[in-house]
Amino acid sequence: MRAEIIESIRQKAFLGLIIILLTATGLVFTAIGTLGINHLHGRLLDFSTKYQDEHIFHLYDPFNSEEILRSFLNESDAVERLMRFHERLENNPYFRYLDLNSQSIYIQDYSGPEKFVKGYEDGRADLNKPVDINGNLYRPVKGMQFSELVFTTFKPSLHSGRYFLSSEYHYQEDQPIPLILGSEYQGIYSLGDQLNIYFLGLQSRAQVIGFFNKDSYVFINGDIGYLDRQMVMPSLEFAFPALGTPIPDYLFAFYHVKTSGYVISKDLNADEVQVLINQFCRECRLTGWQIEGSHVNNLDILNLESHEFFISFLIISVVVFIFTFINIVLSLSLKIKNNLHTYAIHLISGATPSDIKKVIAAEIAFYLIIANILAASFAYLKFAYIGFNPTPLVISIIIGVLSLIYPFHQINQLNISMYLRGKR
Amino acid sequence: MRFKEFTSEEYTMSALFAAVAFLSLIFAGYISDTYYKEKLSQGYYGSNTVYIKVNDPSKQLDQKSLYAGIKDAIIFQELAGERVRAVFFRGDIEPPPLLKGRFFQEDDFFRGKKLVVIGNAYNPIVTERKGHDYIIINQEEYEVIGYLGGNEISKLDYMLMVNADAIDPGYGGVYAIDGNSKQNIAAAAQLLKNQVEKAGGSYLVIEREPRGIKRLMKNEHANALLFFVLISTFLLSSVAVNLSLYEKTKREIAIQRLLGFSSKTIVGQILRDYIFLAHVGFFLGLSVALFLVSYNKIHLSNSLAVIASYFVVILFGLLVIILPTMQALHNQTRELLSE
Repeated sequence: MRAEIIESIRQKAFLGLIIILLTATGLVFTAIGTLGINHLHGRLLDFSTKYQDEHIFHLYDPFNSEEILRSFLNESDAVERLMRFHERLENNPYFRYLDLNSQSIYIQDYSGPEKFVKGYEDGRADLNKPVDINGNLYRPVKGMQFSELVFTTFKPSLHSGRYFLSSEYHYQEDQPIPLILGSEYQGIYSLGDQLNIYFLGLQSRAQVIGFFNKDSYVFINGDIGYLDRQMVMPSLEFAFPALGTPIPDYLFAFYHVKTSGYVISKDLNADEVQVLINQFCRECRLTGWQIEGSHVNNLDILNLESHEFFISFLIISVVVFIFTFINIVLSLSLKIKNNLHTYAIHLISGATPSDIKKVIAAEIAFYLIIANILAASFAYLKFAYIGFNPTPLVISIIIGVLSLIYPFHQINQLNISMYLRGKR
Repeated sequence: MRFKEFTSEEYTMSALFAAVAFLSLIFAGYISDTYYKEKLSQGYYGSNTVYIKVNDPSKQLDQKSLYAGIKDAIIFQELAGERVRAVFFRGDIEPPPLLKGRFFQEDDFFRGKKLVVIGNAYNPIVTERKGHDYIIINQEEYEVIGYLGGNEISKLDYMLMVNADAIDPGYGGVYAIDGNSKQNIAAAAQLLKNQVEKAGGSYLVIEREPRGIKRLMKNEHANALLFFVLISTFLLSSVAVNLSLYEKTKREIAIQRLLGFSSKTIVGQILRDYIFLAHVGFFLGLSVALFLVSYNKIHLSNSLAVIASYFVVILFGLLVIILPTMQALHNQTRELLSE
């Protein structure tokens, strides 16, 4: 039997090659599609764990004029109340509070590319020239401040280095502030590099502890905030100065920024969140913090895009499947037709139609196995993907079974005497 | 012209032509949709948009000369970030989607008009008078000619665009140059740079970070592979159909030869049949696609995609028909009959 199968495969081998390549192409298409859909699904899941079905509100402080700010700072325990308000926001049973901000970080003797400088994208980098701070020149670069919850919410991945440790969110004077840099900073700074920074009135040392992967992002200001050109530091927390010691100026600046983050809630609507904010304000003897919806528009576009991809892919898949299938059957029938003469001789020599059908089935199985191996190798080489994907296998079996119908019909109809007389 | 009676194999071939047309249309529609959404997600700036920061010119740029020089390009001047823009263009450009009204036309520029196209967010400040909408910008009245936006919420809803000559452009600022091709964008950017130098200023090309969904979706690679697989399927299928057709055609050609038909007549007959089948297939594929469009299941990009898909079908058909025909014509009649 093995010899017959090999002989059958070797006859019109070019057609066999076409069948293998066509099947493999169809299977690669399935593999790409399955991976593509899995990828999209993964991305969407990624978003849904972040924001889908959740209400997002941006918290705004009331300091919209110099007078209001001065008047607040003149109150005796203003900073302490602000710090209590922040603690209340972070530790409440009603909603999640994202301490996420975008404040530039001043770097001493910055000599890197302009694209990192604050305002570059808007053509205002030249307005942010180096400034003299205590005898040294500092230049502001784009910066963001993340609390631990920002990392657990958006899960920006690292290319190298490490995330901030829990202890590093608490400012310690003798320790450098850790920095995680966007992917475009690679080659400009290295892990372990130390920088002198000035941030919201605080002069400190900082150390590069990691680099984000390319295209890492968070959602900020109702948009996707890519991190490639950002310098990210922890949103620092401070212990309130001991009684009698002076309150540093930077403390207000830090907590002013830290109380302008984002509220995320599944169940609460805007009115309910505002009521809670008002309550927290009252508890801390503050007034005027307001929330505003911060819907990420691009998420809608993203959802639409993935929906379009899904529909288009589904339609293309069905048509490609039919298209490929017709061509496989066409090639197969041609191959069987060319082999009919040999089959007729086998039948005369004592083989039964069932034996011939087995040879044909084995031949088709051979093509499908080779096609599957080719498709799997391609998927592995192109996507570094290897794993059990049942879809191509199921499709192979369907193609195999369906493509047997016509050749079996041809064998059943085979009239040996006519055929051997040369009539086809 | 009389067509012969077609066999089931030829109808199968017509179905394959239909599939090729349909797949080309769907794929073109999907790619065009991806491009549109990418543009939408970054404030209707394209992936090839060039951003130029103009510094310190001693006089205003001669925008009228700039307008006269550009071709198939659109120039935006950002007046208050990307949301408020002055605009002018010449030639064929891709206007943003509108909910109603119209986008600017070439004869709107430098004719003393004060026109504006706005997003939904500005609706509350629109006043209506004698069937026309107006808004006030810097104490001056502008006629609202169009409302920006699509089916989805996007940055367009917060945008405002005025015709560039209607507003004092100031001396510097950020210009964004877009167009239908990189060449047209580069040519318009060069003209702008020349104008800046003429006005005694300097410029800086800003490498603005792309902010669209493309970076997030990362589906470009998958799309390219999808395209490659589709092309491979078409080519391999054309070989399969080609071989199948050769088996059928060779006897037919041999008999026609025995009957005294010239090669020219035989080729003419085959081409006529093929053209008929290709067109039946193409219009069938197009009809199915249009049917799905009517149910909002898919989008077709534009008439160019239809024309492109037509040529894909014809090319596929040529691969399928011409090669076996030439092969059959090249062989001796005796060989064709005995094979």
